Amino acid sequence: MTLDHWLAAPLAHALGRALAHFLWQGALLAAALRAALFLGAGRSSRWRHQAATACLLLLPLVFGITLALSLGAGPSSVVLPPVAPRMVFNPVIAQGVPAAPVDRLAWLAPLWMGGVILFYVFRLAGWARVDRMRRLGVCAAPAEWQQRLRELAGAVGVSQPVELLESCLACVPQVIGYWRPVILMPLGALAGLSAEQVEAILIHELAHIRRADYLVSVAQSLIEGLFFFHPAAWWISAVVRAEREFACDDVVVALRPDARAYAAALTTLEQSRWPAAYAAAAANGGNLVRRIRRLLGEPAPARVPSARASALAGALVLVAAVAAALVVWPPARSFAQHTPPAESSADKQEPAQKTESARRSLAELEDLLAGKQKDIQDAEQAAAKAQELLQRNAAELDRALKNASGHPHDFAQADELLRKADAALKELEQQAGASQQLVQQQERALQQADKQLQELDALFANGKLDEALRQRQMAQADMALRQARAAIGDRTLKEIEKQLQQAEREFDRAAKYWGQGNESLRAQAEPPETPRPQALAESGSAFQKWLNEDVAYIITLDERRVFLALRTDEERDQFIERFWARRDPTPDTAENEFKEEHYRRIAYANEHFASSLPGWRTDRGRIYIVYGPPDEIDDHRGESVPRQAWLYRHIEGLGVGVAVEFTDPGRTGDFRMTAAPASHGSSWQVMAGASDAAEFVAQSLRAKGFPVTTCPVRADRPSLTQVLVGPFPDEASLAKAKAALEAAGYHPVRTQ
Amino acid sequence: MVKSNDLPRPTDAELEILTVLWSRGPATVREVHSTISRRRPAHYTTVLKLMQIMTDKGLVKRDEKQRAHIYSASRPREWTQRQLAGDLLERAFAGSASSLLVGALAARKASAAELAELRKLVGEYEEEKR
Repeated sequence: MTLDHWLAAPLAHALGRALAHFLWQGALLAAALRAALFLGAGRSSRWRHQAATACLLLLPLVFGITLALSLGAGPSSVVLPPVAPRMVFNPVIAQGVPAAPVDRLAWLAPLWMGGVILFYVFRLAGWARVDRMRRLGVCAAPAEWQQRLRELAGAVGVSQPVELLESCLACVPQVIGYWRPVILMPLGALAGLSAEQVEAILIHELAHIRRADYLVSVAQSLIEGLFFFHPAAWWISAVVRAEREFACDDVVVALRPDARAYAAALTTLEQSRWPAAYAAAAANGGNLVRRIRRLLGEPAPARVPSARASALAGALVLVAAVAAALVVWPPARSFAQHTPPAESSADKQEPAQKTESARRSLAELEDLLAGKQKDIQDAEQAAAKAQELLQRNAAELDRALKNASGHPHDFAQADELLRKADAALKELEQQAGASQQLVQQQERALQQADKQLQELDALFANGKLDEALRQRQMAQADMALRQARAAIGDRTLKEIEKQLQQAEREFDRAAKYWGQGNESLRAQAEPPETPRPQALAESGSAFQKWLNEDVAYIITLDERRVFLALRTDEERDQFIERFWARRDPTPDTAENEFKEEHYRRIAYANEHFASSLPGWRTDRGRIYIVYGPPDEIDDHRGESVPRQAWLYRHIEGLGVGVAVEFTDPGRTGDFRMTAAPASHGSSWQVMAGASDAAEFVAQSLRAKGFPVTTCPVRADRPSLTQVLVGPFPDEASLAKAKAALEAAGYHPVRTQ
Repeated sequence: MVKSNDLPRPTDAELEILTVLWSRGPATVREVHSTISRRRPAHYTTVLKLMQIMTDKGLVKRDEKQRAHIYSASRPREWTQRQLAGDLLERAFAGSASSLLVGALAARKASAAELAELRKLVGEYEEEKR
């Protein structure tokens, strides 16, 4: 997963926002604690310690809530408004569409995570070292001190057993562990201090154990690591440490009122600290001076704002200002750096594009309606003609009868005429009936189209949000693909790969939105001719299977339309019979060689090409059924990327020497066609994109009568599907098809 | 006599024995063993063997004048402490470790100025005591 990808994830956005918000939240909490400590100046150290600890625990709580809220709000609250909906997703016209915006704040997330990990690694190592101090270079303290410790533990109120050890590594008395606490005394401390002084120190340590300060200390260092970037977190943590010592000192003084002896013990211990190499860095040894002053009842020196305090205050103000800037400042748009400057006006174009697209869709539907109306007029004219013919025949018959009455010898002739007229009459009646039926049929289609037009109208008027969002995703996908195409021209292969990956990602997202998009929208966007075989469905699946499986690849558009309009099963049976009869190369014989060959090919495809799909539905199956067995097979199924090329010496309508290549990059047995079976340059690429979007466009183009093929843009990128219109045998028909495509609102690109 | 620089760094088990000797002063193997076994089970022979090895290394000195040999650390404890604290890695993590520690004194050492102030503050007490 690339960093770009990760930055686009909702978690990165949410983290970035939560971190930015935490800058001011932390500063605010620190200020609140400062105010509370100021107001509670007279209170006990225990109270102050609890206030500071509560404040410290609030930090992760506040951060967690902010993060949860940011996650809930999702990235869409940060992302820009959607762009215009477009029915066609062609890279060439994708100008003026901005790339996905990356929230500047998202960059905070990886930086922060790196810092936290670094801190925690150090803390873990430190913890391991502390744990080692329990065992390394220690020996049990003399028995009399162990006994004294037990008595003192009872006085302080510590219930768990406490181990007292002398350590040659500890430089100060310290407590390690909570469940099995150990008090480490530096070597020589027990002997070097008076008994009362040692007791005072032990009471101090026992107070730490009683107050579970070791646990607090662990939690504290976890929180410090989490908010290492914030001076407020460090300050609050320092307050907790300081107040902790004050509180323990208070316990000592309560049990051993000789504060001076205790203060002297602390000073002696501090003095006799072994000269550790790292102590040189310490400019300020903590708050021991404050503690001794407090113990001895000395007044604290007048508070002058020290350089450190003003530095801290300055840092807090700076941090709050940065937070405000990060949160208030609108997120940057990353496309500013790698897209042409012309696109800066993209936002202004959006409404216009939207309107334009809607207008185009409406225009398409209106065209269709006009076409229907013309059909109806044709049918009415035919009916009128039939009527006229009928009348003329009747007049002729009349005349014949008159003639017959005048000339009895003409009776035989009249009879003949009468029979003929009768037959004509019947035929005409039949014809009229058919016309009537056609008219009804067309009227129904007209009503349906009208309804869909209204629905589409309403849809555009409502400006549905999810539809708009989906369109935006599509536009982004387009943009990515366009960039990829630009890269193919003159950039390095690596860049191309990257762009293609991005394009693929965008297409996946787009495809997801397509999947989510409401079904009604899809249905409305489909042209009225799209097969909706309700009546067919009622009459059973046999006919549907015939239409969509048996002859799916060979039935013409017109035949399909007629078949779908049929209303009874007898009509359908008749249609199927005529369908095959029309294709029979030898109508005089009982056998239909075409039909037999067709079903043989289906059986062959099912037997030989089945993978996860039934054989007839695979690419190889389709080509085999439509074009028959290839004249030659160039078989490379054993290679690392199995492939097969089929060579046809001649295909009617396609030309001479047609090669179709199939590959199976996933080695699943499902060979996919790598390019349309046509010589290059003779087709128009209408779009390239997610496979279901491509199928949708292909379907609507097929409905308009275009010869359409879908295939992957590149063999190794099966998720990028292109829709090709063609092939066309010559330049004239290519130009004609281009004009027709453009008139329909598409922007065809000549395949390379 | 072996130079202090040439003395090997004590192992963990050797450090424990040294700690006992620093804490209690010169002692017999039996005394060292009884102190160690208060904290963890240890065999007398193991302790004896270790202390003989330490004698060979020069980490402890053996006084053979009496019937029971008396051992003492050949170097003050500051020597080992300095040796351990000099370890760069150890120093890097000591700072991190110190933030976890709770105890009567701050993890960081007081500065010279602070020590002077502390001495002044408790000076009266010291005088009274004398």
